[in-house]
Amino acid sequence: MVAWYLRRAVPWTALLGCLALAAALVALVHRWEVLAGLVLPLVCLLAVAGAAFTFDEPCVTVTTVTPRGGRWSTSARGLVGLGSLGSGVALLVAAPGATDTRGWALVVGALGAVALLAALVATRRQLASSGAAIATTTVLLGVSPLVVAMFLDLGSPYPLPELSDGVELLWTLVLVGGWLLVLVVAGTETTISWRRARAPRRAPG
Amino acid sequence: MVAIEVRRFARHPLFILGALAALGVQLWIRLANDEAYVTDLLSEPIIPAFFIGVTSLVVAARLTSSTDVSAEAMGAAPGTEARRTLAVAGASVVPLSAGLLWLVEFFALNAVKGPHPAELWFGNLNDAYVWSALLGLGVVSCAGGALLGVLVGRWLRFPGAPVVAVIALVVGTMAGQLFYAYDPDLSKLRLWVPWAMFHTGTMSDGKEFEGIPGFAQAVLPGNPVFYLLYLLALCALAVGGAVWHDKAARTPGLRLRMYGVVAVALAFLALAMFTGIDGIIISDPLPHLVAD
Repeated sequence: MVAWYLRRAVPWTALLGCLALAAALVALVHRWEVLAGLVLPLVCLLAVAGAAFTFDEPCVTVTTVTPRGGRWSTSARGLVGLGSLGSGVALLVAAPGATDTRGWALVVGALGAVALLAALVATRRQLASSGAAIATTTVLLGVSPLVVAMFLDLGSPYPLPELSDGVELLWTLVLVGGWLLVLVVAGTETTISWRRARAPRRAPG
Repeated sequence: MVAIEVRRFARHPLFILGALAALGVQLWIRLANDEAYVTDLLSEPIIPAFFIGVTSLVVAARLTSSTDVSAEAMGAAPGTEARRTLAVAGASVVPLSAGLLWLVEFFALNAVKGPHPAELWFGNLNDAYVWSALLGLGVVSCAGGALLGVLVGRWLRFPGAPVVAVIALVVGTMAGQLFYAYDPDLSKLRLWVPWAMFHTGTMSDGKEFEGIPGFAQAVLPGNPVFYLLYLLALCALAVGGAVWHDKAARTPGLRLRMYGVVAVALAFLALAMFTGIDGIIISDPLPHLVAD
């Protein structure tokens, strides 16, 4: 049942497209290792971007009220998200130049938690197909430090060649906090709304 | 219709964040500089090119494809797909204006703290080359990103297409020039990419790199004036390619204009490669950095 559901519900084109592009980039690094500093963060970001599509549901308002409920579908789709993040880590481990494997796993896990949390919250807010926006934002935010670091003496958020102690602590906090929140949001069935529900008005007279 | 798209573009949160980030990062770089001079000025156009240009790519792609969900209704509307495409393309005036705003900020900050006398800048380089590099890499690239986004939005319909386009643009631009940018014989060939670097940045770690001594900087070969014109031709090609998606717009006239723009782009690329700065220009070491 889970496989039947996932085959039809998950936007595989987008997810596998991100992972295929990540694999192509790893192949590029195998050929030209000098590109590792630019390409490895992109591989990491693509794996996270792929995971961001996990909870995309064009008919979210309909599927939320199905008998199985949101918790079942969320946990089933979550497996796919974890698979995308795991594939990203595997690709990074296979890439030359990624010496700090633990550091890359930490970054992928932390960024993945943030992306999945955003996607889950969007689903609970009945926003259909938010994956593209989250994936794009992840990639843009993830590339920004590489541009800024050209001009400012800032520590890299990526393990190139390895994470500094402060950055590692920061990623660890994001990882733990992010996954806790993911579990909390995934465990709830209620719709999240930023606005307080208004009390029904009485008819005049 | 253009006015509507201009308003949609200017109000898009991602564009607003990108433009604010470009202006903020530029200010941050200057505030963090505790030297007596500023350096690497001709490297800084990468800031608007990324923060405004790349975000505009995503915004334009989303705005262009946003009407797809109501394609049937739009088919009955008086405007054609080509007109709608041109309207979104016209909205690239918004990122262009943001790029110009960055340029104003850039010169205002330079007025507060000027460049080092040895900086490869006005006075040490041809003024037309400096202006062209700033306008091409810093301002036109902002609009170019948006126009590329229109092209992506029209032709790539799968979810996540803007992500793929951003990654392909970043990797293609960097990998397309880094391997031979510093080779005096091959450096000019890097100019085919849509954002070719001219300034290498200062070797501030004091180590020699690719023949550029420590604490020195260099400008790479090529003609920035013709490169600017080449970028403008690429912008025109992006618009033409996006309009071409509408089968009703594929007239012999459009086909002829497209061939003409391709020919012009190739001519400008050849002129950018084979005229202008002939060899790598290397500055004197910047003494204030050496003193550190």
